Amino acid sequence: MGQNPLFEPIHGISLYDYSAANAKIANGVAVDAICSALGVETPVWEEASQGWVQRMQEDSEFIVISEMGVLFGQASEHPKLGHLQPVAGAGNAQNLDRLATDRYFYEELSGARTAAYEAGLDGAKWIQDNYGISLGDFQQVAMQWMEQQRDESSEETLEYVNYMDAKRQEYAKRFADENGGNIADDVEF
Amino acid sequence: MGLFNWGQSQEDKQEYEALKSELATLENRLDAFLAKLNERVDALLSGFIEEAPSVMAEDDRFGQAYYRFSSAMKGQAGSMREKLREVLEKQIEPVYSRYSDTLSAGSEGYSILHEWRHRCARKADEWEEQLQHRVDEATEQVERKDYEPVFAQMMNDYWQQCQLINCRQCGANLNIKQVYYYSAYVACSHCQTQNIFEPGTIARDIEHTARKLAEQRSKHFMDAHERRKREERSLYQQMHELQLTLSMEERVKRSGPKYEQLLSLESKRLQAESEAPELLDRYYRNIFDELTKLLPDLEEHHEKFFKSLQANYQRYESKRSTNL
Repeated sequence: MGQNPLFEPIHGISLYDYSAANAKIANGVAVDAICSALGVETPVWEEASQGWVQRMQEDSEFIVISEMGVLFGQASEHPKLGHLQPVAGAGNAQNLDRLATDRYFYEELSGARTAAYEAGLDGAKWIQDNYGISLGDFQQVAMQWMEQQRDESSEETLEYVNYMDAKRQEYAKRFADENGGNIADDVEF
Repeated sequence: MGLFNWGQSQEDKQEYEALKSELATLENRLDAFLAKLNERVDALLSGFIEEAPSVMAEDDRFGQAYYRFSSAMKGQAGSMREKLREVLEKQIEPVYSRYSDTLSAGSEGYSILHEWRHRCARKADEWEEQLQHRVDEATEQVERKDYEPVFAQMMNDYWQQCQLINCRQCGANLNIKQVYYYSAYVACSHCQTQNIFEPGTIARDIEHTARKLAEQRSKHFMDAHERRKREERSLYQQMHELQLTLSMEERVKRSGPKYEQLLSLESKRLQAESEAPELLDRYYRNIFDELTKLLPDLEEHHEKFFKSLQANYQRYESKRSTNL
């Protein structure tokens, strides 16, 4: 990896810096705080960000974006950015811990989020409001599970997919009930 | 068992009529159910088309409100699709299973039952396909936008904004002559002070809008590509149907009027098959040429981006083997 020019830092901002910073930004940390922790001014950060986006677009093998996914999930271990928390606070640590350790809970919230969007709600906000888990934290955990999924058997993966879909349907019914039902609920066979 | 083994007794005939009647009733109910669902699809999509412009007009620059609005429409379409699947699973399939266990394979009743099941499944598939087509069409209609004036206005606003930017040290105009898509250091030509120029949200959206405009200018290539792909599929289907009617002699000798017709279809199919990827290539090439015309400073990146994209779509190109 060290030899690949696609991974060379841009203006001193490494892919790990860029990935961890994006995880933190998605979590509500201000860009100013990121720049300050990295010791750069905003124009340097923005040009480096643009550079990393361009590298990903120019990389036909998707190795940069794939590595970014891994590093995104390791944001909390980043030496300069790991400790940064949004002004609003760290969210619900207990639920976040459960999300990272209980795969079924993660699949349930993934299903609920999809159902929420399909019901016209902001799925990410619904999770934040009901479980205190921000979009950034949720995506970080999602990356961890995706990594783990590589070592799963197809049967295990299928079980999780089915579980998520069953939960999606369950939440879809719940959201529909709260919204007065679906458009074709009264159409009978 | 008599009837289902082709018995001729009165009882058999009655059972046979009862089977046909039950299947016909269920199929009529399925037709009526699909017609009622169609009425709801009409209501859903006309409401979507009517309300979308006001949702878009009040949306933020990321289009989040419209995203939720269109997701809700697609969610409702999905709920109708699931309702139909449930009907197949709970109303059609159990009847099929009940009779298929008792009817003799090869009997007329068995054949009627199979055809009925096939017809019901096909009606459901066609309805779903039509639903998808209508949802796509409505989405395209709502999202269709002429990006020429949008982009022109954006660039105009950007240059006007640049004229008002002065050096924080000496107050001289910074005389910005290039497009900055994000905050950047700009040196004052009078006192050499490094200023941080923050171009704002307009500049951040320029690249995205340029891409939309370049896609719009290149769309005719994509339309032609899709048309050629559809033609290729249709020709392949025609060949398949024709092949089924070939006699053994025509197959073995590879000659005769039908075989000639087959070769003629194959020649047209091969032409369509070879032109479709060329048109796709021209579509992407044109997008990046247009992008470079719109944003010349990004030419080098556009070239690398194009090559990366090209490597990907060429990786998945495949050709049929017809073995004529």
